Amino acid sequence: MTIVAVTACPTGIAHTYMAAEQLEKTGKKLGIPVRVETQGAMGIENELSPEEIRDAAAVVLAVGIPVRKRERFEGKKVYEISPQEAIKNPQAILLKIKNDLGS
Amino acid sequence: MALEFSFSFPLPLGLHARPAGLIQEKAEHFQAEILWENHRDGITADAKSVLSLVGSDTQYNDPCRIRIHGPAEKEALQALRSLVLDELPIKEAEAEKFILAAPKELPRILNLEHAVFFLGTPAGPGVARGRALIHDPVLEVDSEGPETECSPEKEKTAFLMAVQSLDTELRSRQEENRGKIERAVIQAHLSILRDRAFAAKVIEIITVERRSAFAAVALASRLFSEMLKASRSQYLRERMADIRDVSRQLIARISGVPAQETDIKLREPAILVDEDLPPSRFLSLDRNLLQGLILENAGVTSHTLIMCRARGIPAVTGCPGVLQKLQSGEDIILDGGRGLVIPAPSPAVGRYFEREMGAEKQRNALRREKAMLPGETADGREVEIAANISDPEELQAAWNNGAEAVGLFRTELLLMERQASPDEEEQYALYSRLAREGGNRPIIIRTFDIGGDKPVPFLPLPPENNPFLGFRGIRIYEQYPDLIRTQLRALVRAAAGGPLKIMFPMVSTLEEIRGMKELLQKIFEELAAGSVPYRANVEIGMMVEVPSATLLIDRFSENVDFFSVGSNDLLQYFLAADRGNPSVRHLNQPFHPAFLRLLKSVVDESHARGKWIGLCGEIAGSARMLPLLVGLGFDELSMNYSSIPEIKSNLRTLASAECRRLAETAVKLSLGREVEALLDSFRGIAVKEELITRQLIRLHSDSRSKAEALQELAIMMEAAARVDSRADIESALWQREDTFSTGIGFRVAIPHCQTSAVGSAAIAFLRFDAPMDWSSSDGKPVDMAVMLAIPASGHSRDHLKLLARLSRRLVHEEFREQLRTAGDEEAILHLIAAAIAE
Repeated sequence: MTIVAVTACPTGIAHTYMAAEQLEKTGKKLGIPVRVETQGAMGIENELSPEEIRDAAAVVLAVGIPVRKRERFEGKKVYEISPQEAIKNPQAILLKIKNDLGS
Repeated sequence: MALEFSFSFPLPLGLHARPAGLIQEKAEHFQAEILWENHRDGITADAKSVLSLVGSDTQYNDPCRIRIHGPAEKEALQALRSLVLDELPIKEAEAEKFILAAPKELPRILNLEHAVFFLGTPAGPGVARGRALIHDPVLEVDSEGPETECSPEKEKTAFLMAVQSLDTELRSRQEENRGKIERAVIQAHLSILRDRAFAAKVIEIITVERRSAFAAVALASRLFSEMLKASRSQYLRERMADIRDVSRQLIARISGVPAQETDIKLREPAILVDEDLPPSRFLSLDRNLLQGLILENAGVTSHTLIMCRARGIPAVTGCPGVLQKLQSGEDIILDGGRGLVIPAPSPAVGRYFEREMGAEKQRNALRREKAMLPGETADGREVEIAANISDPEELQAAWNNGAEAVGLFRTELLLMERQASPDEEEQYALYSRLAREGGNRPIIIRTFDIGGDKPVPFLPLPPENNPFLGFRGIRIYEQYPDLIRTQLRALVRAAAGGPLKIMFPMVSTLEEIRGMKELLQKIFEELAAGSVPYRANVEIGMMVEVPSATLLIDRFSENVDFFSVGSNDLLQYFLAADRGNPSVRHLNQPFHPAFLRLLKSVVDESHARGKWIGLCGEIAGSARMLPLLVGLGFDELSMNYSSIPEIKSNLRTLASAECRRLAETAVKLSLGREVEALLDSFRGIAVKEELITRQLIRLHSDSRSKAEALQELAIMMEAAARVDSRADIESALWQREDTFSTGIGFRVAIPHCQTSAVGSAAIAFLRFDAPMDWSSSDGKPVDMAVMLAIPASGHSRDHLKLLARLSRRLVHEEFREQLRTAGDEEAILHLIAAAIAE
């Protein structure tokens, strides 16, 4: 099971990257592969490929502003949280997804 | 026959009392009748009356005409023409440089603390805290005094005696006050007092309407005030205060009330609160005890507030009703830059503004320090930044602004308004003072540059049809040998006491310079024979302002030690376009590629002969022209001293090779506007800034709240010269906090912003002695803050990447612990450097 995520915040220089780091780091700890795309001041980085999105079990949007290219996630199971939550307690969201998927 | 000349009025603030005073003074020298016609509003004024001139409501660019009828018409015409078109614009540019920056945002501490405050108009930057001293205004001028049976003769005498007594007092006050602006204000009052239209009106009211002197002055004052009130210019309306002030003092004398009784006495430091404060009262205050000034409704450009700013006294105006809202003796804070008045501040508000005061002091010190840095490009090419002055009183201001030399000291002022030429001793005393107060900085003294366009009362120079192509500068010395001999004797004697240099104006032939060298030789022999000390190796230079001289630089180099380009005259002679003539003014432009080629050949030629060359015209102070002038290779730029801080700080960011390439490209262009476009697109900035420096790290912050912490970060950024104004970044940080708190949990806050206040990305670090609330997402207090700032545009991707890496590292517990326990600033620098390294 892999999870894909997008992080974004108003200024795009701090929360975006902290949230990304937390999700990746915690995923590793929990043994859940997490692929994160950042939408910050440098634009879209580590952009998710259509295949990655197709194969993902769930999508986490840790965003404080509207996500760019949101249509890519149509039909997917999307969990939307704030970047602060992703930074503060990344474990909670990843475990919730794991629980929801029953795996 | 009457003479006339037309022009468009050159002063942006309009014809107000100060320039009107200068015009009136000049006009008084001539017997002829001189009329000032404003063709926009159709008003014709008497040029010998300040009030009449001011009443013409002449605004910037108004089409005007001066008509002269009577004796010495030509001289009068020339004198007024050069005053209005050349001298006034320079004088006025110096007088008022204060720009009102409306505050973007008020300090948040005021909301957080629910502080009571009044918001007025910023009138003098700076923060003050002290006791309020409330002064109840008495509007003496609004009454007309007791109506009594009066004899016009007696009243007239009373009025004239009052005028005389006030005149005497103002003159003695003028002598007491050394400040240039103070003296100019007193001068403006004197010119109102001596104004013939005013006096005539008062006497007319006394004799025709048979009113008392008291009433006549009050009525005349009101009449002229009304006239100014109708003016379109805010500035002129504020001159009403000056008329009322002079009238008030006259009335005090007429009615026998000593003026001192109405004066305000300061016995201890205080912030004075008043409805309005007439300039004369401001001058009578002990300004060492005046901490600040709060006025209900004085104009920002009133003389009182101009003097306040000149003295660095914080001030706020436009605070209606403030007299009723404050109490004498109350503790108040005044923030003149923001227009804020805060009565009875809470301890937290007090702390915030005490810090602002400290930051303001630091900022001023930093400015002075920056001004004192050497004039050189970022890569170390020296360009001497010098001042043009004409009064020894200006020396100190020039040094304070960072002048490294005086590139042009004009001596003509010595001759103006005099009946005889100053003798050798008087001149020696003046030049010696310059040498002494120059403190080893070079001072270039230009010998008398007078002639048809700058008439001198005791030199009967013939009127000319075309004075600019006439008998002026070095050309008159042959006919007036004593004038130049006396000046040169005084100069070489004074040069024994300091590095004075001598420069000759308007040189067009080699014979002129050789003649001066021979004269100097004779003077040396005379002085040596009389055992009078002098400097024999005094450096001799010449102005390059006549086009013929530009093609003989090689020959002149054999006779002089240095050159200085007088770009104003050179430009108009070379392009054959008078900048005072509205029809051809557009042709008088320094961007003309032909003019740039001329400058390039002059600089190259003088360098090829091993001579240094400066430039002392108006373009020397132009920030836009600067890269070009540096690229052309000038060794010195001499300008109005108020331009020095800006020019020097710009110079220090330039890369000299880029400037050289710019100049090489510019001289190959065909059109002036192509040169302008090239200049506008020029980015020769060579300064690269580090993301974080020791100055941006503080391990023992005493901030007690988020408001104080953000203020502290802003102050650190200002002190490290990363932002021009701390208020800008402070408000940008707050705006980001407004979306949601940057307290990310883990006891860390990462305040950040994207703002045009910073020129390049920056990181700052604070560790707090006492943890504070930051509305963090985990509700816990914060014990350190890492600030990230990026510019609004033109930021480099490299910097952004580094900031992103730092942000990622901050969610790692061990990194945060390292930051918490690092022993010194150096350790923090290393930690952050390692975190952002690949």
